[in-house]
Amino acid sequence: MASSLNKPKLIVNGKRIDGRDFNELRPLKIEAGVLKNADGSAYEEWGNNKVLAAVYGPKEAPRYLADPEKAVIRAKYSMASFSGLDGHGRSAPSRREVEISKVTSDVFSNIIEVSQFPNSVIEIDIEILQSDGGTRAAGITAASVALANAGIPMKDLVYAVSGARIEDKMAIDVNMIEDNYSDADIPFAISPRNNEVLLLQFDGGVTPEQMKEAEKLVLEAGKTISKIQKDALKKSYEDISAKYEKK
Amino acid sequence: MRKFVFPGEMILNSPTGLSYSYIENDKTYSKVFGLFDESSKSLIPLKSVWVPHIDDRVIGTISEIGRNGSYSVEINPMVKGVLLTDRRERQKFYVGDVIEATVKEIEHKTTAILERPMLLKDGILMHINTAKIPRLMGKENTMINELTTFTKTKIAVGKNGYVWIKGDNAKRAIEAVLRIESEAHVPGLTDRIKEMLENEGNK
Amino acid sequence: MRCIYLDAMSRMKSNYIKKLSEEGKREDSRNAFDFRDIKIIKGLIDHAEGSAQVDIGDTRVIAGVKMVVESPHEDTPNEGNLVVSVTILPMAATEYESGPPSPEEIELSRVTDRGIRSAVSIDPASLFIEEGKVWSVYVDVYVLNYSGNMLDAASIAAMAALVNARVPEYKDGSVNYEKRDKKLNIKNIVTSTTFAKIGSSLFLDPNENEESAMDARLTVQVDDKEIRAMQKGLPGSFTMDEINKLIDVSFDKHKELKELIMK
Repeated sequence: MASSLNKPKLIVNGKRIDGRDFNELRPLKIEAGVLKNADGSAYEEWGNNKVLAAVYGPKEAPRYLADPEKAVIRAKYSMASFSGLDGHGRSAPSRREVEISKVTSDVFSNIIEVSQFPNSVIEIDIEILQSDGGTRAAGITAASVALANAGIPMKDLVYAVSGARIEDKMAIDVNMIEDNYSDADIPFAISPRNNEVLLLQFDGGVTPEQMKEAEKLVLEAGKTISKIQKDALKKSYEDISAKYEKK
Repeated sequence: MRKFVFPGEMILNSPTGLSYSYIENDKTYSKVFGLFDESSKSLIPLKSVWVPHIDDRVIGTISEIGRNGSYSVEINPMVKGVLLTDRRERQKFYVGDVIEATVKEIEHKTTAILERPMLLKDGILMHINTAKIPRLMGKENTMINELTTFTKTKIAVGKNGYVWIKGDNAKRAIEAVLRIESEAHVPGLTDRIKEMLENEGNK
Repeated sequence: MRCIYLDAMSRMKSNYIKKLSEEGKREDSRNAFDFRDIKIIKGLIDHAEGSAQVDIGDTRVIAGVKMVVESPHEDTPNEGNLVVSVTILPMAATEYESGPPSPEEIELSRVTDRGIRSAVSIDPASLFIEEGKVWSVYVDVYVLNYSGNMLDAASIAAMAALVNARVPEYKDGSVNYEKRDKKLNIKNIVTSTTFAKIGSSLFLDPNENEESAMDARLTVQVDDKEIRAMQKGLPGSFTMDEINKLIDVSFDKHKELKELIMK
């Protein structure tokens, strides 16, 4: 968290720093099937975040990894060295990247029908080409589309988004500046069929009431995110159908 | 009426044993992104991961020759193919040979024991989305028969997604296969492919 | 470990490629010295000082430039640094996995870096800010999808990202990355052409199947006047005549590649 000395005003005239309402998502666009070699892929622009997700597998797991009961899910989250506005990122995976990879793998191990593919591995590569806050949520939302695009059987189409406390207000989907200076950033990953929580990380301070408010904002925003995920999956098929309907 | 369905979408209010679906709280949910036909209660994935079944005909490449006369056959990134032959028999295949064979047994879901091999000599090998293989074959093989008749090519289709094509018109057959792969979800596929083949035949 | 291994499927494909090459033909019916379609999109990463995505056929790479204020090397106190590096992402192909870079990836990275540096595309003296402070220019290229000839794609992307780059404002000892008014001064454009030798045939811009069938590889990097870097790869050999011919082709291609990079 950045020093509070030069903390910018995060709420101006009752609106957020980028003019949004507290329950308003940044613009979200997803395109499915963008990479040729991968079994499934998705490109996502969420605010100023630019994210690529690719899926390979299931394929034979290396012996040290193989589980005779189920497929192993191996997610890898990484940030391009030029993804941030300031400075130049170094190439070795940071502890932060390793942790996010781990919690992302956990999300998808829950939702993928892993028992159908013993001794195999499903790889999920998430590359943050440009970062603007909320990248782990953006990565999970894109990876979910890539997995469905690969035809991997899953119990649900997961989405993820951050709730936050900005001063005394609860808000959804923080951008980089809000992320740096807000009082709490609370990323959630949700299974929308039953609204169960698959990822929750947070430090800072919120009251139980504020947490409930964040949960409400997340579920509300989730309806929009889910629809955009589904539209992305349908798009290429509908485009081909439309070609024949016109005639 | 067919509609798009997504992983986690409830497709039926009662528990059913449909393929590519699961049951939770006595309701049926889709596991895949696919098309669901409410009247016929069929769920067809738009993309799928192939898992071997006994009697599946598959296409693969010989990758290794074992000392005991067995062959390793590459059929899929997840499933290993093993072809057992009589040790006294003369070596029939070489590394790099493409063969068609039938799944006889499945071990630990990751090894497919193959039998009844047939060498596919020369020709071109391509791979398509395995969810589209039933459409490429057509009802009672009508689609694939049409294809081979019109293009005068030899075509072998593996359930694992590999398609082997041989003949002077291979390029035309490849085009048709790719078109079937990309347009299978649009009604009227058979007529469109027929029209495409007939038109080109007159050129 | 990252590696491309020759599996049985690609062995079968390479036999097919070899057979075609005996008649001077290519799998995708290109002429011997044709590139596949090249597409360049510049400036797609606004956080970077410069960026470019390059597609050569199905090969896709993305390059970004970041400029950082650093202390100069002791032996060149008035000069900035230019560092080009290439990373093959695991998503590029099923054979690539994360881990320490393979010799192949290190070669790819170094050859791309050498061509651009030897052509002095940026005058190091123009990167001088004030005593003890210079700009370091990092150009990082990521391979997103592998379908042969990563080297030319990486080199074109690195050059295009440099051409696209704008220098952040430096004032009173700090950098303002949100203010980038001045273009980075690129003095020279170097372009890369990579050839595959299959049997006795020579092909520009090999695709992935041609790469798995090739006996030898030659990369020639040139500017308007001079050859700037060369790299021969794999065990096969070239005759002197072949090398001279490929150099001529490389200068021919330089004009169209340069135009694409500048556009």
